Amino acid sequence: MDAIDSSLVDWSRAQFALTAMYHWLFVPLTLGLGVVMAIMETLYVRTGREFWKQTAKFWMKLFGINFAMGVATGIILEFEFGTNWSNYSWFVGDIFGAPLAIEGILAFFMESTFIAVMYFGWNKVSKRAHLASTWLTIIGATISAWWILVANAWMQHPVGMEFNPDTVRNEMVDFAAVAFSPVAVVKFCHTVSSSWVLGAVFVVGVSCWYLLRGRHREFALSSIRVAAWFGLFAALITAHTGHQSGRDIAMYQPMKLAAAEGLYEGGTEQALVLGGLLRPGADWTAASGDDRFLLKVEMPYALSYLATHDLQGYVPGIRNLLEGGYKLPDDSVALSAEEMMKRGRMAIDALAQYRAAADAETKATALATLEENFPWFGYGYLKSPGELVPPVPLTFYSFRIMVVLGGYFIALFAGLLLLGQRVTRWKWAQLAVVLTIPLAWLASQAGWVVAEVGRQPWSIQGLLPNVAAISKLDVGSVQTTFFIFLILFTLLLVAELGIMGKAIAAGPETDQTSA
Amino acid sequence: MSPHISGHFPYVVVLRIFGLRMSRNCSYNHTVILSRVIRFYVDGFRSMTLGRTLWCIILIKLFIMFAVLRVFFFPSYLQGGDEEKGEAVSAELTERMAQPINPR
Ligand code: HEM
Repeated sequence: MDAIDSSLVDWSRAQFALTAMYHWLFVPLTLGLGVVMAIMETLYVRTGREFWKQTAKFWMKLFGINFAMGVATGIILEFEFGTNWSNYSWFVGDIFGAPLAIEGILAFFMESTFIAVMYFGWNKVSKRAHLASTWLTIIGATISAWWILVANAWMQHPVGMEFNPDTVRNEMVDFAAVAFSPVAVVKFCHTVSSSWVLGAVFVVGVSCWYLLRGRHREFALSSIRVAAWFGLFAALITAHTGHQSGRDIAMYQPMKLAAAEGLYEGGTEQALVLGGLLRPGADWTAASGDDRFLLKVEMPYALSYLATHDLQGYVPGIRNLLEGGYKLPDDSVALSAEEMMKRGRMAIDALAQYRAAADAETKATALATLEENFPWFGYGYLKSPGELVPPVPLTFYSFRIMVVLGGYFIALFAGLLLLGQRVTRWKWAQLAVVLTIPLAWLASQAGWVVAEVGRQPWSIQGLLPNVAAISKLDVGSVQTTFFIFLILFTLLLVAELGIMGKAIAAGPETDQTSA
Repeated sequence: MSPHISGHFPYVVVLRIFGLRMSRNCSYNHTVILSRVIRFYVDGFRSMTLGRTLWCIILIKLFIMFAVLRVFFFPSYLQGGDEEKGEAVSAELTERMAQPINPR
């Protein structure tokens, strides 16, 4: 076997994570703030009040800064596919390429047209045409997100494709199955609604900053009212879609759920861990006498119910998933990791035989073996069952951070709505809301950590682990690019924060119009 | 819709998006439409304030990403035509198969 250095896998992952997380600083604010500014402009068109126009314009300005800083940060990810993840890029074929190409073309045309009208067209187009452009800008951005998330969802739950051993690529056989797979739909709804939450937190946070400073009172209160309603609505949808995401991973990625719950030994009537502390250094890949939790607070039956909609439902833990032998929902018996690894090796071996075969008979036999064992193809690259266990503490804590903050955001928006104008009297509440701004990013990034760290070691669930997906590059060159990005991105981030801070400090131009 | 308008429908749509109107006796053709749309963008760019800084940042960033990073740090790993790429990936994928080293 041709050895792949594990540090190459780690550095390739680190580099991708860095660029993706940096990109994800901008995307959710675009999606969330975009809707808020469109709502503000809708209020302007409906009421005719100049105040709402200036309010919309101010949030549009911040949207523009964020958009400009976010442009092209995603391009690096696409470069990385070609360089660091070349086997993966080839193997996924048009399944990944098609959605990304649609996204690129659509985004370019929608954004270059409607954004231009939104910023340049205030005195040139009618109020309604302008409003339509604003909504189309944000709808375009949201549709772009759809295609990217379709590609991501396919990696988590590959459907609608067939593997072609002649080209060594997957080919799309059912576009609708790929584009509307249940995982893609839920992922889209959760990602977009959680981005709305982030946008709403940003708006109430900036508005409370003005209140703290005693500036732009009417603007701040009006913005808080609109954003708190929108945020509450979005946060409730986020909680609901988050619950559906949990069901999805219970069905399609049970190891991710086990890691997120710190569930080593599964069973029926499983409790949900509401909060807990894991024993540092605990081994999650093998049975041991130690309790893996230092402390935990549980809700009885809740995990069984969330995962299966049945209080008695069976939820496999890490050990069960590695050892197999339990009953699956379709009444078949789960295979052990060893068995899946064996079948995976048979599939890979059959692929090699198929490609080397000179006569039709050998080819046909190899093809039959490959097809029979293809669902376990990726397991053939694993050296030991323990590799199937993702980093448990990171997944576990990230999941809790996201969910706890999800509950906090609901309380925050509801609290702001209940307080109404009284928020102007409570400085500490205003400060708390300002300090909440970074927490929205924390929750959103934690969500991606759960989704992506929790699915390790897979690039494509069950079909291709990272160790097979990466290009055999020199570790040093991957490290170099990692640090180049780190410096570059930090500089860009400082620039963005500077420009954004200046625009916020300058404030909206509503004071002349609000009186 | 009159036959006159329907022939020019695509032009009218483009113009409407940009809030532009053609006078009655003006003929619709690609050049006129294009120049009016370009003027819309040029006027818009001219009247920008903060936008100028943002465009500078975008251009610098695109330059760094494409001219520097793409060329020096991200050459495509797989070379050649589709057949060669398929060959290379299949060789990699079969070579990397694991041997059981830690059977349980
Ligand atoms: C309120 C309770 C919440 C629950 C039960 C929940 C549940 C989940 C689950 C199970 C995943 C993993 C999905 C997968 O791997 O396919 C996930 C991912 C994610 N979550 Fe949450 N979440 C909640 C709140 C939030 C909040 C408040 C945010 C951000 C403001 C957020 C942002 C995300 C993001 C960005 C992802 C990654 C994209 C995805 O896989 O959908 N979540 N969430």
